[in-house]
Amino acid sequence: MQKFHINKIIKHTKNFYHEDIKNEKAMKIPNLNLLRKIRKSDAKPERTHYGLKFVIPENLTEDEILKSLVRIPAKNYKLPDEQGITLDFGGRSCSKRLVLHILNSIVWEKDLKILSWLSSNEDSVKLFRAAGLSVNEPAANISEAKKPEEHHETLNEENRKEERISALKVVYNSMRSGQKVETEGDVLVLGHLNPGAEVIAGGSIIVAGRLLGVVHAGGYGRGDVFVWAGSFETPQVRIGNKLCYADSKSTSCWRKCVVITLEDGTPVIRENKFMSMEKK
Amino acid sequence: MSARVIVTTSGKGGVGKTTSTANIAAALAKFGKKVVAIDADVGLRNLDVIMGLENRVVYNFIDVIEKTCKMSAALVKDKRVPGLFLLPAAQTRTKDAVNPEQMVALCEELKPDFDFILLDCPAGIEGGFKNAAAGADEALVVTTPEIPSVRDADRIIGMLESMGKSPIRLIINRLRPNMVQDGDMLAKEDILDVLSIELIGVVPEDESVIRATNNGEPMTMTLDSPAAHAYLNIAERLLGNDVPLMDLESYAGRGFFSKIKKFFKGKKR
Repeated sequence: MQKFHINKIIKHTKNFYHEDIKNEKAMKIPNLNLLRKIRKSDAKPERTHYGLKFVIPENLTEDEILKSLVRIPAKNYKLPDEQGITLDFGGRSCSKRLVLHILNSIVWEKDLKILSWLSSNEDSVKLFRAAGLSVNEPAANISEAKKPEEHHETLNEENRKEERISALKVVYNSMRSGQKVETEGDVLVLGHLNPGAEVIAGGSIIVAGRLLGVVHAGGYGRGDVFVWAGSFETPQVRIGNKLCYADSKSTSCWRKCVVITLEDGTPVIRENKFMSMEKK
Repeated sequence: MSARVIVTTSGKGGVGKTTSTANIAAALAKFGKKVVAIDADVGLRNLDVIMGLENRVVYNFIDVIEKTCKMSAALVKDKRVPGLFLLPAAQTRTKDAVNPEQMVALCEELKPDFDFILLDCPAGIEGGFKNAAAGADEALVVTTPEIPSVRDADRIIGMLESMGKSPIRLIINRLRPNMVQDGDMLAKEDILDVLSIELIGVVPEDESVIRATNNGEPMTMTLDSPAAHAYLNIAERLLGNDVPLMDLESYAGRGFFSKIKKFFKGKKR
């Protein structure tokens, strides 16, 4: 991602405005070259698909943030209609005072279009939500992405989708409780799938070790998939649109190497005898 | 001197994090190390009670962070063992009163003066855990031989791994060898099979833990119980010494020698 800075922008931008006022389009897009010189401590703007994103350094005090944002020349950030600005506060715990000042003295004062208020700090996110501000990263403008070679792009998209579906995701170690893998293709876990771990795959799933967690093969409706487990010890398996339960009493395959498939819409579990013999 | 910073954590509550922290800290101090045990459980502090230092707590680490007092004023020295200190938590604040960066800074401030910094982590995976773990380099994960506890430990280990803590070692607490033998309790091997991390010690279920907790005296100070020996062994292993795992069968009273011992001593354990 391209990164650039603002520095002493007021000095440099005087001439820039005069030249650009004639050209409305140019005026809407910030002159990136002029923004490259910046104070290290200032909020750093990044070009994104939805406009500009200001990453606010966590080491700044609230007053410094306000000063840094006040320095932004309003006209320079008049973006095209479908674009806007996102403020990213990182892990900072923002106060109500800071939010209020940003809204009063910067957003409303300069008539900026703020798409989102991002933060990794839970308290800040709560505060933004409580103030009715959007806290999610803005999505790309799909209509804008369509180019004259629309047909070409659709084909590429289909190819990409096929690639995604046929792709194999390999997990090179055991998956622990709380860890989750979700993919449109197949999944190979080269370890155990511990209780509380989850694998959801559009295709088939192979767990080389103990299957103790939750697996869902054919998670997007496919039925021509299978689940293979080195040791079957999970109480629940999901395959295609079917959900089946198992325990040590109801199945003779418990703690054995198994393959689970869908046959005529019914989940069938079979011991993989070849592997079981190998184990012995 | 630059201290090793170790967080004692588990995910699930009530598995013996605080007891383990207090006993390992006391054992390390007995081995001549300078140790500080930090109670990172803000709002629900207990380490001071288990260490028997609750009457001497004046300031806490939040006061240090907020610069209300100096570090030396907040540290409580245990007079029974030289080199053992407690840095208590605030009871009247919540876990939001501190952030991970402040905990890192706190540990950095303590590092030059100690050999070991043990952080007693609160239960859960939210802010309290993240604060406590932020300052640590190594981790001790405590689990009991129960499925919920093992599953929570697994979750915590995953989070510690993603935070780059290493080594992460396991303490199996409150193991009842006779129940394991009867097949009513998870065996050490079953737990290790799931968690796949280095085992640093197994602490047997022991009535003296309750006694010691209520008396405010870490067991490793007196060493008159199996659990005390187990914690002492864990401390030795932390110091890099090769100590074999205890023969828990003898403590369960099922081993041949223990039966003979019991016969001669007439003592019921």
